[in-house]
Amino acid sequence: MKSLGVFVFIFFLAQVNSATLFAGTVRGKVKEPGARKDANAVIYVADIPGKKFSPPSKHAIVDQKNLVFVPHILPVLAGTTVDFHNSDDVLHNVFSPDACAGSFDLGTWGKGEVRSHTFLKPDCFAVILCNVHPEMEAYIVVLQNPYFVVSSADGSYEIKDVPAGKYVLKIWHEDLKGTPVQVDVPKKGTVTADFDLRK
Amino acid sequence: MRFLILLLTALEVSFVVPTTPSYAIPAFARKYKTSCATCHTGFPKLNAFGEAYRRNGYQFPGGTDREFTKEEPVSMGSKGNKEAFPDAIWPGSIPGTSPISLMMNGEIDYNPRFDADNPASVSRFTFGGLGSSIEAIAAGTLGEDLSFWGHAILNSDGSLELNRIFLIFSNILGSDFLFNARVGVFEPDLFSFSTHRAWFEGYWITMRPFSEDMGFTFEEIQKGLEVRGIVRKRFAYAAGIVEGFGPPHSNKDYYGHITYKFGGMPLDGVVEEKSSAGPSRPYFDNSMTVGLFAYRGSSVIGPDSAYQSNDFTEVGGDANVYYGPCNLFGGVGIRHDDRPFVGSLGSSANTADWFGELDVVVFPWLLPGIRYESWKSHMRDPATGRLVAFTDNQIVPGIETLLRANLKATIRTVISKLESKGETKHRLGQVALILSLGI
Repeated sequence: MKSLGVFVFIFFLAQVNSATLFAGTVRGKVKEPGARKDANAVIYVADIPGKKFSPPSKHAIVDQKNLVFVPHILPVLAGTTVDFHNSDDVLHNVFSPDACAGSFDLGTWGKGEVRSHTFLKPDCFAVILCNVHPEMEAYIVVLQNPYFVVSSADGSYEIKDVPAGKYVLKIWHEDLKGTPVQVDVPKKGTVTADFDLRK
Repeated sequence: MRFLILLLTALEVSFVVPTTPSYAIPAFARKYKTSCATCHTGFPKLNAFGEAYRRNGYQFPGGTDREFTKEEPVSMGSKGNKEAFPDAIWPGSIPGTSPISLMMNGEIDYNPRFDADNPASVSRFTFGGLGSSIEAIAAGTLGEDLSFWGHAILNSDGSLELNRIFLIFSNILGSDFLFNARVGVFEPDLFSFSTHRAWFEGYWITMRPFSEDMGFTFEEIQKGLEVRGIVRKRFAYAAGIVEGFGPPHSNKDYYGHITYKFGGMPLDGVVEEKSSAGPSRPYFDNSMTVGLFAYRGSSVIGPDSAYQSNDFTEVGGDANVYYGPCNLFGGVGIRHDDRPFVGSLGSSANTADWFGELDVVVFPWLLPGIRYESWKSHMRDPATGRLVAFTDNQIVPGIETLLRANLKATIRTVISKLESKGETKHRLGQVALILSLGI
């Protein structure tokens, strides 16, 4: 009876936490010949067929501060709602001409007010603009699964808790292109994949 | 000067003197690292925010200028010196980088009234004016509530014209730009529009002189002092004393202007509740601004050997309506000149002039507009010497196209009937393609 209980417990853990129990880390470096645009590349696991991922209930946030969108690049899981804040003492607007994001225009609003938009379609790289200040720009990268990250200032990145298996790892950058790579994520440990960005 | 010429050559662009200097200020764009479109709906025309920025002495609304400034200014004294005053100089600063902007304008003209038999007639199609000038504008703030403006035009013949040069002292009394002063050489603040901030410059009401003898215009640069301010966010006033027209003389010109804005962004640019739920555009500012002005002038006209005084008074008003992408505005002036005709001391004259203009933002970069102007006045018949009445009118259609936020191409023409020149029907005037670049 006791062994049956242990078995049931282990089976339960395996079902619930198989993803994290048998998950590895993907890390690497993004390089660009000019070494000026290593940051702000989105590295993500390409579509995982047959799997559906629930969007987070907590909204993501993009702020507008000192006439700049913060963050500049925001990857989200499809179905995520993004709250657009205005922390400036001037009016701001948020719109996107990209059809995959619904070609929305949230209007114009002042400090302290928040407007929201839900990004439904995956594989969408939506530019976010403010028609009051045309120099302002951000990108919402909408992805099919939650295994993504934005490269840091030195170009390094790390995606944790990727379920073990073979995947295609892709990279997206607002100006540059990189070649997808195949990775075999171990059940435990790390796999390395570097990217070279080119025009 | 040599640097400017070299720069112009290096850019391989050829430009001409614009009909009127225009004012979009790339130095401000650099200061805040923001686009021209933050303040302009097709430069140099200001949107509601840009108008507030101008009224605030080239400062962001609500005391936030320092917050938005991204080019660190160079201190001319720490703010602690305020406490040490009068034993220390009041603190200030200068812009961190050069506050100079360059404006270059080029023009290609087609003249349908070309007369091949008249050697003085301009060519039917000409590039002739290209490469004749470049404008340099220095503008910015010297710390809190002290602003400056300077403007020079360098012509290809080597001549240098100095245009507006002034200082603005803001918030002298109270706060929120209640009482400010401007001193120097400037354009009197009489209207809610300006030919220098328009898609199609050259408004008769502000730019047309009464006659060759009486060359005064409202937008002639005036030397003097002006006080102005904003009361309760939507009411604005201005009053000034300026040198007036002609050689230096004892009597000065006086003027006053009041204006009120209904709806839209307040005149000081501080927005408290305004927001739009649906799609919006920065040039949407559903509002109506109305204004009244009075100007009393004392000019000196005539040749050096026989100066003659001409006192004149003009009263009028203007209205400026924004609705969606449309902007309908106009002005009217009624003027009386005591002695505007040289040698005819007993002859006075009345003038009534008005205009209406419709500007439409089809796209943020495609900006058509059309203006109608009328000028009803008196002139001296050269044959009989008697006064005769005349009415001139013109239609000014045009399209401004923004190729970039700081580069525009404007096509405009004039269809006019000038009774003062003996014309009896409307005729097409010069068609001009004007290129303007600000850097």
